Amino acid sequence: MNEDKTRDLIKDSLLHTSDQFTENFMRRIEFRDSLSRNFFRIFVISILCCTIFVFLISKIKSNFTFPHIPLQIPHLSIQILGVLFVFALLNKLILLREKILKLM
Amino acid sequence: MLYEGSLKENKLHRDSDSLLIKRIQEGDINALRGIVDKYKDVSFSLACSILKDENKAEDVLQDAFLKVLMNIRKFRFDSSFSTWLYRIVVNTCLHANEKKNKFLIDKTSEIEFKESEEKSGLELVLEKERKVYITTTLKMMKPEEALLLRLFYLCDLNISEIRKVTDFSESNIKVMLHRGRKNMYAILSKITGNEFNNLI
Repeated sequence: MNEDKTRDLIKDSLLHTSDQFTENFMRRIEFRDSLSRNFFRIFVISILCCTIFVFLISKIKSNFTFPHIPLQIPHLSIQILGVLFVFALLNKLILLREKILKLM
Repeated sequence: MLYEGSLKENKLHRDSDSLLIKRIQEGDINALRGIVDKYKDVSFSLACSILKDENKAEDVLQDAFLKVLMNIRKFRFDSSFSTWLYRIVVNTCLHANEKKNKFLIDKTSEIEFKESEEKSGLELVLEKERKVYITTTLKMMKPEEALLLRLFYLCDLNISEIRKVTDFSESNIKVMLHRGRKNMYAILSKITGNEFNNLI
């Protein structure tokens, strides 16, 4: 068969998207952008809260009695636990953001 | 003369694309609307060649355009934008289709006459429209053959550009294009019957 005829035939196979395709896509992008901005705010607030939390943890007394047994936890262990907690929290936040962005 | 005209047209397309892309790279999201409007139908046709489902193709195409937006800063104008875009569209469709494993290049290409799910044979005969016939034919063809035919004839890509989009070797593309054309006419003559000569 002639190449031009084949070309003409296949040019006729052009399919069209629905009328709202572009609008839906632009709305999706706007929503995604606003979500990213909000997540950034939440991220900053979380970091601030975590910093305060770590600061407070570092002030905890390392010697205390519970209930009548005297306990002594090294200061460094408390600080390490605090930092691990902060990292776990931030990790959860990032994972949550990724999940939401994937769903969109 | 015709070739020169086509070259000028391609250059104009590339220039208008470059302007829009630069605007998007500078953060003007509205410029993306121009790109989407320009390429959505051709990209949708390519997506349908692979996915064979128009609803799914539209969803996957949205994901593909989103990937384009997220990676547009990496586009360095080394190749044409359309080739880059079609590659993203094809890869996104293949990824979406991965579970079904429909896209196998090693498969022997035999014509599979499947009944159209949307239209009965009688309806097709009654409609007698070129567009319906050719769209149905491409839907019945193997995804890789339908995709290559559309890339070559609808998107006007040459063999080396198709290689960049699909990662097939040049010889493979030539063989599949030849086979695709043969199968397309075979299916077309089968579903159109006596109308075949009038159709082309």
